[in-house]
Amino acid sequence: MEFKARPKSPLQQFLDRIPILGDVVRRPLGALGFFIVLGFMLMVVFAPLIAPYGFAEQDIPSMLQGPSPAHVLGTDHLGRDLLSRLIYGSRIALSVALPAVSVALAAGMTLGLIAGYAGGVVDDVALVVFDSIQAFPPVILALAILALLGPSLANVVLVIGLTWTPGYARIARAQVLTTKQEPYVEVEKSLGASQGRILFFHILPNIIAPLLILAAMDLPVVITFEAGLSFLGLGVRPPTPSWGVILAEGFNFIRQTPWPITWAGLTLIITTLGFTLFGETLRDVLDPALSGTRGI
Amino acid sequence: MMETPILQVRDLEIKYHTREGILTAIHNASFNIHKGQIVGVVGESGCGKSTVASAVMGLLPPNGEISDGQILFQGEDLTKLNLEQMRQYRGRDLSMIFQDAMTSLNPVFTIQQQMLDAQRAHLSEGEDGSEKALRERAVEMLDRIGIPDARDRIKEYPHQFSGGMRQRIMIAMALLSNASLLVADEPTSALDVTLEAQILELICGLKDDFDTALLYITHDLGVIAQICDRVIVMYAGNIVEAGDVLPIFEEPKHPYTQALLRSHPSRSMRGQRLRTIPGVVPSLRDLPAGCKFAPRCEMARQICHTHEPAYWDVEGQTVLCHSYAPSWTGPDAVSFVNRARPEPETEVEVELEAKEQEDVLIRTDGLHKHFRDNVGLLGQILGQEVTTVKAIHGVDVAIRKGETLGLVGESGSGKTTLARTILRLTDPTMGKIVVLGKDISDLPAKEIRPLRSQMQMIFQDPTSSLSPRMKASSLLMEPYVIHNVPKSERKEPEELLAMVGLAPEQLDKYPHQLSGGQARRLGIARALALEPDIIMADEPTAGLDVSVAAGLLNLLTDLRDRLHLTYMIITHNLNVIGFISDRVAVMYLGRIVELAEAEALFESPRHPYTEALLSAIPVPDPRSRSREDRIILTGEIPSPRNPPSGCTFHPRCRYAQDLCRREIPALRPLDGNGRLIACHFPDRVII
Repeated sequence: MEFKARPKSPLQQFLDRIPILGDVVRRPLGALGFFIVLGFMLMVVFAPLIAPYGFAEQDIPSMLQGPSPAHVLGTDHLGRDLLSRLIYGSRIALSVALPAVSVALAAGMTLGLIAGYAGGVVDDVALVVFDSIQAFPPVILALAILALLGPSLANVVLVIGLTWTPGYARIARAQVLTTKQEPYVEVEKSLGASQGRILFFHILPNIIAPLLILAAMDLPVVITFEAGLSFLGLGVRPPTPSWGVILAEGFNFIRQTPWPITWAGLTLIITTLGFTLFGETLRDVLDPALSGTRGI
Repeated sequence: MMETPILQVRDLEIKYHTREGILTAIHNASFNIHKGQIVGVVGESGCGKSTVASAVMGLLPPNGEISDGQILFQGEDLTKLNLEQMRQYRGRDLSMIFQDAMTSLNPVFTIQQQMLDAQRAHLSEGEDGSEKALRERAVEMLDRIGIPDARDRIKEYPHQFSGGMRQRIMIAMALLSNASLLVADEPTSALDVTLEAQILELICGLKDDFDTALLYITHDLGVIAQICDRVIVMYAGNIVEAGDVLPIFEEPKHPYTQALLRSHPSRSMRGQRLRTIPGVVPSLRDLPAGCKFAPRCEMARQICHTHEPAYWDVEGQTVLCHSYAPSWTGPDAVSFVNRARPEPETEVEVELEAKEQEDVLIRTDGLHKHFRDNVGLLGQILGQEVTTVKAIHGVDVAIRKGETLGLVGESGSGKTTLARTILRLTDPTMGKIVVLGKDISDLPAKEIRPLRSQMQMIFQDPTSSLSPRMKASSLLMEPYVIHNVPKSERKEPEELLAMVGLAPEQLDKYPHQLSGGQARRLGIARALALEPDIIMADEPTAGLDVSVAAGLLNLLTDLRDRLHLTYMIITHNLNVIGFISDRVAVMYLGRIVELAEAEALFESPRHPYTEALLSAIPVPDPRSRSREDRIILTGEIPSPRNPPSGCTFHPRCRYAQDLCRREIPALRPLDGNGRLIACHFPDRVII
């Protein structure tokens, strides 16, 4: 059936050609989220080019300054340029958040698929394990493990990955439970498809969208979590410019200057907002019930 | 006799504001409803039936707008009222009955709470509003509507009632308000024929008792013929024909009405092709110029494509068609319908003879399928009793090569479970399944997989039986991939599509972009890919419009003749069974109660259940309404969890004797024609 549509502007035509992202950017909040995420990514990639100073370049005489032409956002207690440290900090944030969320997503999805599809004892055991992990407050669990393993970037990734896994596994499992009841799964069975084929070709593609969206929305949470761990001195060690480290150090000098925590806090807030908006719009766009006609 | 109509709709025009611009959904619609009258609105999906109903109730979606015309209810123009004033009318003077009674009742409140609230919302002055008085009224109404033990059951929640009961409760709630106009939107479409017959009888009774006027929306011509006084036929937002029920069915004037009536399947059409309406209902986005039906009309002339027709008054019927204009030069519309009347068929006999070979493809032997309640670990420890549900209870059935076996019965009789068990989609509890001479009842899953290419199932829900993230092209190739068929032996997807009458453009589409009929055809194409011997089809026409269903039935019969397929067709639609089946098995509560040649079964049903099922079919012939011999089954199919003693049908059987309550009748041959019947007194039922 033909659509009698109004003529489209070049921008709309351009957006039409980009599969999912185009739909995200067409929505105002999605566009805001997208550009924040894009800015964040650019910052990560081009950090050495954008940053006016090195992240560890000290200039003790001009320490704890407010914004000035030389240091746009001011300096910290060692006279390091805050802007540069925040820009480099984005690299740390991403290098923790991305692998940590990926670990959680991969592990959670696999466990959830198996638990949901196998059912029975396997499912029961998996649920007990998820429950035990989730019974601990994430920070306490992370503190305990980090205290055992010692603070390092790799351990932070591991701990966050582990803490987040049950969340993904539960969602994957719930999705599998409903999806495996769908008529098309039984049809595949009646066509003679093997369990593996049903699981990976027919169930997985139909449960992955909510997981990816959850991942997009978890990235900022993980960034904040890492900042929290670093703030407590258990994450990234100084002088590496994690946003959490900047916050923690700024906190010590809050009586002298409010700028370090203000800027670090704002950066965290904006990044979180950006990823969340992006993730939420992505969810709306991918949800067939809301968007109508587009498959993945 | 003609007092002022209770509802007058005049020149109604409804527009929807959408992203693609403003679409006109209803165009220039006018009709009246008088007190105590049932007016039926019929047409295919997308013709605007429900839009009219919503407009009358003031329940148009936010982007819908009544852009012109009036809806006069007892003289008051409803289109001029604001939300608050409209709310006053709704539920008091106007009430609506929806299709799905489960979702229309609030699951967290008891029936009593909901019925009392509905009354409180519209108490008139001086009325006794005490809890006791309101409850009395509610109980009285439930009694009236046929809810047993209403006084106790009113305290129950919606999920504790069956589908038919819930629909009755909805009607009771609508009646409590003493509404003078009821709007019913497909109230029986989700119900079995037997329940449908009960509800229709109830509705007809209400008309007499309460003098309520009813606007009844349905796609089922049979239902219209059974209960309506007047009929409005809608097509693409226009009323194309309106008139009294008898002339509409006897001498339909509009080509669309004629086409609709022709595509209705029935036993008398056996062996012929059903006449379908070519094409589909046009989308509101690109309505054709001129007559909206012209592109699908067999008698359309030049003028039909260029000029909008006017309403003509033909023998008391209002018809929107050029052919009644004095200047018309084409064929006479009325002569068309007579030409299409089915001629008595003589070939059928011959065909049956040819299929008399005893070449059995599938045989079951004392097949049982029981389900056990999952009481869980805690339940087991606490010694909770495990109840067994006997979904299939000793079924012996044989499907012969090349025949079409129809399987009928109400929902819950175990039809689908039987098919799934035969295909080993679920494991049998007891008994044997022999497919192509091989006992498959104990085969491990691995060994069954290769056999699946020979037996395919078409599932009930067309769209959701297609994997949603796959395009039609990959869906069609799925069977080949699964069974590792070498590329050279595969059929091209285009070829498969052509077999089921779909255009190659559909290859690029995802399931949800296809219409119900297209998705169904795609499912059939996929089932055919591996050239199976037998196809089991579960409700192949459920949820499809008459003309689409007709096309599908034609397709199934064509394929059967061309590819020598064997079918087992599961449906509760007896018209379909009568049209397509060679033999029919009637199931009740997990058992086959009668099995016979289709002709013989329809001519003289011998089991009381078969008799009742057949008599409940809504026939699209208003004259059959006053049939004296119509049997309306009371009650509903019992839960298989707790089946009645003896013959499980005895509580609903009008011939039940003491013996029936004690002993289960065996399925045994009745006469020499291969008819089997499970009844103690098979001779009691001869019409």
